[in-house]
Amino acid sequence: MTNIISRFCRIKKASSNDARLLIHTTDIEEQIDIDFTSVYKHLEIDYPKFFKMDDLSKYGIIAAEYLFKNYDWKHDYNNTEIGIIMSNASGSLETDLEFHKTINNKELFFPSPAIFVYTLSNIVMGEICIKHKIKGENMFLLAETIPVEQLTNYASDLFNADKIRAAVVGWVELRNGIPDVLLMYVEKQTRTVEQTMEFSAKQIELLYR
Amino acid sequence: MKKNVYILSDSVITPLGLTTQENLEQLYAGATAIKPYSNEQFGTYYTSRFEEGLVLSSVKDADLFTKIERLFIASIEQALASLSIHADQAHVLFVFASTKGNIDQLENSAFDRNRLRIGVMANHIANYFANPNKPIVVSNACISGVQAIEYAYQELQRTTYKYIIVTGADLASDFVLSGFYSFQAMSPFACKPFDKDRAGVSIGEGCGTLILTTEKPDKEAIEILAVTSSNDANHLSGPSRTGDGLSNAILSAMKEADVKPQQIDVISAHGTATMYNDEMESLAFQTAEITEACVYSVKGNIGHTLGAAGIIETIYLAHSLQENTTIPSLGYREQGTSISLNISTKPMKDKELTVGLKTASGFGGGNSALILKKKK
Repeated sequence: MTNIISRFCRIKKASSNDARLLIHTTDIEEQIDIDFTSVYKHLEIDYPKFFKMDDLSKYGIIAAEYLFKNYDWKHDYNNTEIGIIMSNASGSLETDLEFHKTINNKELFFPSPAIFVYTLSNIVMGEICIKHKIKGENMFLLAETIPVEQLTNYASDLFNADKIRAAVVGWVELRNGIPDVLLMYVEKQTRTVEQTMEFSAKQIELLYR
Repeated sequence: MKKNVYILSDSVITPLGLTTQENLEQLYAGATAIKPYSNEQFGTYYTSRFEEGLVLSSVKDADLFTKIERLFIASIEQALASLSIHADQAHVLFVFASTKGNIDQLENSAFDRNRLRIGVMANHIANYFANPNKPIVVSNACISGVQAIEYAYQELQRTTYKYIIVTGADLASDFVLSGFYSFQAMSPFACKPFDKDRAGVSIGEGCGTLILTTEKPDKEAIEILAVTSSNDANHLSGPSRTGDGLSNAILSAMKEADVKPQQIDVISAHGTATMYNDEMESLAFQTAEITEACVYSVKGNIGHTLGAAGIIETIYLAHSLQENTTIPSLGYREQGTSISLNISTKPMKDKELTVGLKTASGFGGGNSALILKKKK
């Protein structure tokens, strides 16, 4: 049975000379200013921990919110049947640089545990798991550009091996403060959906474009 | 039909030993590579670190590669040395594991910033071996090593790769040490996994490499029966108190491997020697109903080698099964978890060891479990 992309959320820079972000999801296409407080209010996230997160995690949480807001996505899955397979190029490099500042000056050595915890590639995935109680298989891959083949193959393997029945799959990259995000919610095609979008490398490329 | 996946060859390079055999001799002898160091910022701290200026002499053009890259290259070359495999072939794939890659180069302003990206570092190493395939890079905190094996295992099921080289390394960098220091998670002595007096983790560095294949080697071989992961969706820097994330991973690995709890002879635990981790693991083993198995952690010998840990420790476990000898859990004296565990305290040869379980847990909530079996 094929797997389908039930939901998606794409976040990228609106255009090269526009400071705003383009948000394209299953439901909407809009342009927003990069302002976490207004996005937080706009999406009614209601999750104060959001403001403690590093920017990479904030973008991951925002994308997951666009995916699942007002959508009954867990309808008949257990938390342990939902997997998450994510990727990016820079890991947590932006936050690594910030943490490095707190230890670089030996006179003013004051490493912050609140920053250090975000200096791992997979923390954005951990934040999404905590917020949405995703408890299944989880994997974080690094590649120079979105690894569409790796994401589709690995996730499909997990589906085929019956290790998962649904999955959040995607790419969450942050470079020089600019996000580049594609999150998808993938399920086995077991129920009728209005638009069927096959979970394939080609389809991911179309959504990412 | 599931294909069987075997370990064809391996290599471990740590401050405890520069080959797998050297490492094992030291483990059986109860030796540790963890030593006290001191600096103005941390005071006295304990870590397992290569001697300053360790030259990995086998590496060609060594000056083109950083410390961690040389470590990867030397370990991969070691694992390849006994085989007639050429890594420049299209049927060979690389899978890398690392949490922080070249992070020690952050303070080197002359260093190519792009190689701080672990994917770029991996390409650089795969190019050294003239491998034509895009390397896979897994970076999922402290379960990276086990998960690199998981990725390779899945890949071998679907593809026609003959050999997958799974390699993991991390360094005991100032960056990582500062972080654990800021968490007040560093043990004030060489760490003591599962002991009553344990007081935190000791960080270590090293590299482990496994070559996996679906062709059964002629000799007695170690087969990977299952590798799984889960997330406990609880807290970024602490495991779930009940161990439900880890027990989920163990239960699904046992199911996939078709192994009963009482068949597991030995567990190579994550055993970081933090209060929470070791307690959580003991609960997870109980939930999975694994009560008889001999349990040990090697963190008292080599420290926590982060993204390399899952690979290095799987290699140790495979050899301990082959040699029918349990690895003693260094630093353990008295029960320190609410569930009583059968902790290994000296190398024992009196029992046939056939099935082994490797577990790992990490920041970000990841847990993973891997089951090995010795096949005659």
